[in-house]
Amino acid sequence: MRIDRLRGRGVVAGAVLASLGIAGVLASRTGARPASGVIVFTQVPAGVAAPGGPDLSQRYPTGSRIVSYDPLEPEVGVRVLTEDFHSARAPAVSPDGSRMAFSGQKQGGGPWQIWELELERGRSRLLTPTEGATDPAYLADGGIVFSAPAAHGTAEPRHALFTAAPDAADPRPITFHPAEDSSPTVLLDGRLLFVTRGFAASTESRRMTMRADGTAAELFYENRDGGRQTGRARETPDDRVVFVESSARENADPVAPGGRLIAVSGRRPLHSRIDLGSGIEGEFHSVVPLSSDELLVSYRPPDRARYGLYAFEPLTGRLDPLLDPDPGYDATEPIVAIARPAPKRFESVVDLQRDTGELYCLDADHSDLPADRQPGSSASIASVRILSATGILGEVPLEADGSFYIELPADSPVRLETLDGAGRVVRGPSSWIWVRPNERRGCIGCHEDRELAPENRAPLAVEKPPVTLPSVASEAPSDGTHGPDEVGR
Amino acid sequence: MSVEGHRRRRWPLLAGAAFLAGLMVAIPGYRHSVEHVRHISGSESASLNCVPCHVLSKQDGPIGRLLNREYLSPLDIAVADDGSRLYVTAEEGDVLLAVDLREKRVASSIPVGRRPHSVVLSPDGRAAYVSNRWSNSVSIVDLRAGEVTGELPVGTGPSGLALTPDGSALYVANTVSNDISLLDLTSGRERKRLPAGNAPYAVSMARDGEAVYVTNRLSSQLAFREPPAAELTVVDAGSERVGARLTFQSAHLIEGIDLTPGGHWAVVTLVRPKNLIPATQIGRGWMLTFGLGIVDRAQGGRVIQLPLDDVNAFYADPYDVVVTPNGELAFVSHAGADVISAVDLQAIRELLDGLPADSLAVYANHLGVSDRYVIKRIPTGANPKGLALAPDGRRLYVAERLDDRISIVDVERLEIIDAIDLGSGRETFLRRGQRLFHDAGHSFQGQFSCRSCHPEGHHDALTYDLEPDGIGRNVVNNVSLRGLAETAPYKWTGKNASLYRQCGFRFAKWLTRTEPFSEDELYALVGYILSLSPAPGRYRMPSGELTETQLRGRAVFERTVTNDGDPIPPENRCTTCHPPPLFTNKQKVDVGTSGPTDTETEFDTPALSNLYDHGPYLHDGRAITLEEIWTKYSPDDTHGVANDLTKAQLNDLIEYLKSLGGTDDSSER
Repeated sequence: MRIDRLRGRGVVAGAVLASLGIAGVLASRTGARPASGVIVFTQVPAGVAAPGGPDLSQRYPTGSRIVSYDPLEPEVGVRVLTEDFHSARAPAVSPDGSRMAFSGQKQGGGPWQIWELELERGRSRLLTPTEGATDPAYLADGGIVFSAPAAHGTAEPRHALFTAAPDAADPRPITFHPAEDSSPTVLLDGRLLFVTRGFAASTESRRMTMRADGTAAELFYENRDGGRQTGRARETPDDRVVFVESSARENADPVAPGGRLIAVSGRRPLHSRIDLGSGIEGEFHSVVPLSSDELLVSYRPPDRARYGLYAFEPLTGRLDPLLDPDPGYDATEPIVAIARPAPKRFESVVDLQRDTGELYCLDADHSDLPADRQPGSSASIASVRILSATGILGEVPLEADGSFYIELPADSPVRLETLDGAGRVVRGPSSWIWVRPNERRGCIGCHEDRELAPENRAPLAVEKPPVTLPSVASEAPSDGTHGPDEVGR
Repeated sequence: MSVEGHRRRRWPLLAGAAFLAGLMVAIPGYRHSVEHVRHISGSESASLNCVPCHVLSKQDGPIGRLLNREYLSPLDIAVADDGSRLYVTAEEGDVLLAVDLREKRVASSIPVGRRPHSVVLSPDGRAAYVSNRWSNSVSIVDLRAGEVTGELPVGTGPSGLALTPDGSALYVANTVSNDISLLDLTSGRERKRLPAGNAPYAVSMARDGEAVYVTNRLSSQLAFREPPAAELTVVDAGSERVGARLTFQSAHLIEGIDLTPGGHWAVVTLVRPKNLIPATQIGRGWMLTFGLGIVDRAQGGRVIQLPLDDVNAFYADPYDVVVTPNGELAFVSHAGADVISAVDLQAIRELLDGLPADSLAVYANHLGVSDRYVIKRIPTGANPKGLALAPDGRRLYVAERLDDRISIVDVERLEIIDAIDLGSGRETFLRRGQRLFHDAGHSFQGQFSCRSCHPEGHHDALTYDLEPDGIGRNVVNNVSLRGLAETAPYKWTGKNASLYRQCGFRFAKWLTRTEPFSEDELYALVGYILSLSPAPGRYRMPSGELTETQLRGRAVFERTVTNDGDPIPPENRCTTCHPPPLFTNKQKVDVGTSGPTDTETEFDTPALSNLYDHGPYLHDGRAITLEEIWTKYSPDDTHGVANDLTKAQLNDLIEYLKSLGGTDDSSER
């Protein structure tokens, strides 16, 4: 470990962050209290799978703990921040830098819940009693978002995202599809960026964004070559998003959470992927930016058994260990305990007094797929069928311009497929989507290019009231030729 | 007990009574004030602060005059041929600034007309020509003497200018009168007046002198709920006639223009509104996108549109564009994003090479494609407007309008290397509001500023389908923000008692889709909007008197009986709902214009001011012209009694209506 240089790095990193208008945390330097700009991370005992992989048990690593390390006081070493807990992980620091939310298990065998630690005083309190809760992050309004088990039309509980108000009362789910949602990050523009993973194929994972009220969920990034998304993504000061991605091919161990260190442009995430660790052997586990030019990563060299913390310069490929690796622990999930610009908050359109939302499509016949990849593209689309998790909600004929407009139950996953005049499926079903109460979502068409803005045309369908679903004589069970393939298992 | 004793005893009683009386006044007064603030703001939590509305917003009050100050607001730049000086129009200072580039200071300030807009230099460098938007003239400036030597009258609202290569004639885009003046500079007379599109704005002359290109900001007249289409008017300089009217479909606010050195391309800035789509989301270009337009002269005038936005980042209000002398780069100022985009024109040529027409249509809406040709975003100061390149192409000058500053960009490094302060000084309350008005940073991903739909505080002549009252219904006609101060309530439904409410949290919830303005920001923004005055009335004689036609029209407006002598019920007379001085009774009225998708039947009565410049008309914009209000949309005399009018009488009425409102002292900013 090159402490002298890292001390300087700590100063530089602190200066960079301070130059962004950030004030450091004025914290005590005694006991287990982190000082300004200290590193906070999760230590996972050897023999316990590090968090981030697809296995559910990896969300709750027994015996893990959250520690701090001050690069300016390397002689002090690491300090345990969660001594009162049997296990703890997934730290997140509030925008003002004064508090840390984390997922903790008070006693062995007890529930994992979201706790909050006052960094200056070292006092902790239970933020939400939800059991199995993990991956907390602070919202713009002072509330939190976290991942916890939920059962929405599925036989097995899955992890959905929840939000809780600043007083932590009454957590409510904000994702409603048959998938595992985890690892939320709150972007500066107020959106949530999270990992969603399909049930059936554990490698099918994507990063999605949505507003903190669960509206406007949409794809942010996916690797169609099979890259599996693990852990939280982070924003850099130069508007990139960095995260770790692995693939089954790369990992002999199917549950290994590590992988490649990836950056995408926040402005064009679907088509700007860069492997920041190209040419570097070993595996990355998690990452947090120190500046535009430097990242703090959890990294395992090929000749090491454990993940350690390293300062990484993507431009030069230089990796410098931050502190001596502890052979008894993997060092994962690093963050910097420092104040930072608060994300923007926004006024939610969700109205919980309503139980429906609306969806309209400008042209269901629109597809960005090349002609040879459009199944049944020669067929004329006459209607669209809306599938719920349990059956068919209804079929809606298209207007002459291909548009349709429906009102459907809120907070329930649906998929869509297009039909020809004979009722045969032309395309679909689509990915699962949902609408929140009072949300009105629009789409350009099926298989729309996610970088395409709509043409300025008034859809005929909205000239009439929406078709309300489920319609009469619907809710028929799926006939097996279509419909959900990941539900009810 | 002595009298003195009684007095002593009475004193506390009197004091107590006075205190109680004070409380009786103060408590209701306080409660009234709280209620007033809540009513005006639409917020239960608004703080009780009288100063922003009653002091800071009042420009003409003694304190307002003390607190406010004049700004220059540089708008357009011309560079001397030897590269030693810039000539800058100061829109709010009513001057032409000569800026010494060696000493980096203002060398002289030459008073010109009101609201100077564009400046061009004569080929010999001795004279500058400045268009004065609110003086309806072009100033001739002797640059050696530093004074105006002549003022040439042109059409209404002159904006862009272009000199012929020999310097003998000047083309002037008259934004308000929708035409192009051709000035003979030898005789000092207007030689021709050519019809343009809607709101002609910038002018550029091909370097071979064969053609003149004039951008038009607003869409040509639209059928109801049709996509906008703005015109690029091409004047054949040889015949001095309009040679072509090229159309940018689904685009408007075409403002800046420049030509590539060989003249193959005319490059313009443009906005692609999505006003026909329900405004349920603003991400991914569902509300507006901003881009470039290209007219490829080499390919028969092919019209191309390309976005300048990214998928998750928008660059609002592109204003000016300049092409480097070698034709390799174009720079675009984004006035709402405080950014200059550097565009690789060669990359665009390669992109377009052999591209079929249907791909062009996709590219116009594809936000990923800008990655191929936008090579740098250069941050600037507030509200970058006019751009100019040094003669050698190595420096780019940027008029940072709301910072009163000129920035200097190194074209090779693509970064700002220096700036010249023109006299910025402190930020006043209204200047802060003005900056907020023009700053797209207060929308989710920079999708739009207030200015995007209200250029120069006016309107964009479009109709919108907003979300809160349900989609596909209650389409609303966008209105001008000029002269709103005394016309509350607001919205066509009259639901907003004030602009504080109009621009508050609901605005953030349903339109900008991000954090609302803070209370201080909201006060400043509204103060600025309320300070916007109507433009000078084009249809008013300088004496203020009405013409014969207008006098006849006034008689129709004020009549109480029909042509047949039948009395017109008071509720059906023009003056009942449109009484002077603002020509609105500020009430909601059912004039029979509610359409099948409207959920309301009564609409707020609009004030009548500069109506000639406010089309389309009615709450949903269905009336393209003033005439249509009565000839098409009031068949049963529900919108005033007019069916008995002769064509001549209707013409008179409209001429009178066009004369209403306006101001002699526009403070348009």
